[in-house]
Amino acid sequence: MSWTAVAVALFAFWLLLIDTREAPQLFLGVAAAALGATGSELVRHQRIARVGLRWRWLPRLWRPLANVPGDLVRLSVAALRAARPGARPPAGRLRALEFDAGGGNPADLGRAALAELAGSLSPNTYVIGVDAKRRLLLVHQLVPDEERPRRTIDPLEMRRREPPR
Amino acid sequence: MSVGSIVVAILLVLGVGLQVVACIGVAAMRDTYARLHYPGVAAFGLAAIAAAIAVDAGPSMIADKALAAAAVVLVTGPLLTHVTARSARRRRLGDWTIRPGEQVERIER
Amino acid sequence: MSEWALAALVLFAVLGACLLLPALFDPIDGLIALELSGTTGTAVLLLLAQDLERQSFVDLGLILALLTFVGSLAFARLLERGP
Repeated sequence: MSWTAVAVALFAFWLLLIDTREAPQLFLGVAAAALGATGSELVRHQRIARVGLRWRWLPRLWRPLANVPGDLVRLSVAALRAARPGARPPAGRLRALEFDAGGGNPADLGRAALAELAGSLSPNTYVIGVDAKRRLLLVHQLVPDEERPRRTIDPLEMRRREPPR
Repeated sequence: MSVGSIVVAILLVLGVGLQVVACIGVAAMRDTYARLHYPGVAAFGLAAIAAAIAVDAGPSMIADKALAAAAVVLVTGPLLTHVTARSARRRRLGDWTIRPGEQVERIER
Repeated sequence: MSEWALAALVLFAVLGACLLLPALFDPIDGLIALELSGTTGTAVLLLLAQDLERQSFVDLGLILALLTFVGSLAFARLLERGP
C-alpha cells in the first residue's frame, strides 16, 4: 500500500487509542504515523515478494463468512463429543484441490495468498499452502465437507488463472 | 427486560460458550492439526463478546476499542493458523508440502 | 454480581485451565494453547473493562490481541527447528 494510505491508517489507529483531542497528542500521532509509514515503505522496497491483488476479488469474501455459523456448530459438536470419556477424537482430514499456481508473477502470488487467507477464514478449514510444484492447494478440514468441498476449500475460486465471472 | 439487554445476554452467552468450547476442543483433541481449528472458534467468541459490549455501551470509545480488538483477532487469526500449521509440518516432516507416501485426499472434478 | 463479572469469572477459569496445557503437550500444541489463551485473555480484559467501567482495560485488551499475534508468529518460526 502507498505511504499515504499506511500513514492514514496508522493515524486512525492512534486516534482510536488516545482519548483526547489536544493538539500536542495529535502532532505526536502525525509523527508516529509518518514514522510507521516510512518503515513500512522501506520494508516494501526490499521487494521480498510482490503481490498483485485484484480488488474485484474482495466482494467474494462473503462466501467464506457465510460458512462460519455452520462451522462453529460443527466444531462445537466435535469438541463436546471428543470430551466424553472414552471417546475417540476426530483427526480431521488433509485434502488437496488442484490449483493453477503459475509462475512467480505478482498476479499468481496474489491469487495464492488470497486463497490461503480465504480458505482459512472459516474455522473448519485452514490452508496449509499452495504447492506450486504439484499444482495443489493443501488444506486441513476437521469435519470434512463431502457435499461441496470446492466451496469450503477455495471459496473465492482462486484456483484458476482467470476466475469465472 | 429491554430488547437491548436480551441481545446483550444472548451475545454474552454465545461468546463465553464459544470460548469454553474452544478450550475444550484444544484440550480434548489428540491430533495437532485438529487442535489448530479451535483458536479460530475463540476469535468468533471474542467477536460476540465485543458485540455485546458495543450494544450495551452504545456508540462510545469503549465500543470502538472493543470492536477493534475483536477485529484484530479475527483478521490475524486465519493468518496465524496458517503459519502455525506450516511450522508444525516443517518441524515434524521437514517441509510443509506433501511428503512422498503421505495420505492426502485429492478432490477431483 | 453483574453479568459481565460472571462472564469474566468463567473465562478466567477457562484461561487458567488453558494455560496449564502447554505443560502437558509438546511445544507446537502448547503454542496452539497459547494462541487460544491470548484470545481468551483479551475477552477477560474486555469484560472486566465493561464491568468496572475502566476504559484503560480495553486498551490492554487491544494491545494483548496485537502482541499475541506477533508473539505467536515468532514462536511458530522458532519452533520449526530446535526442541
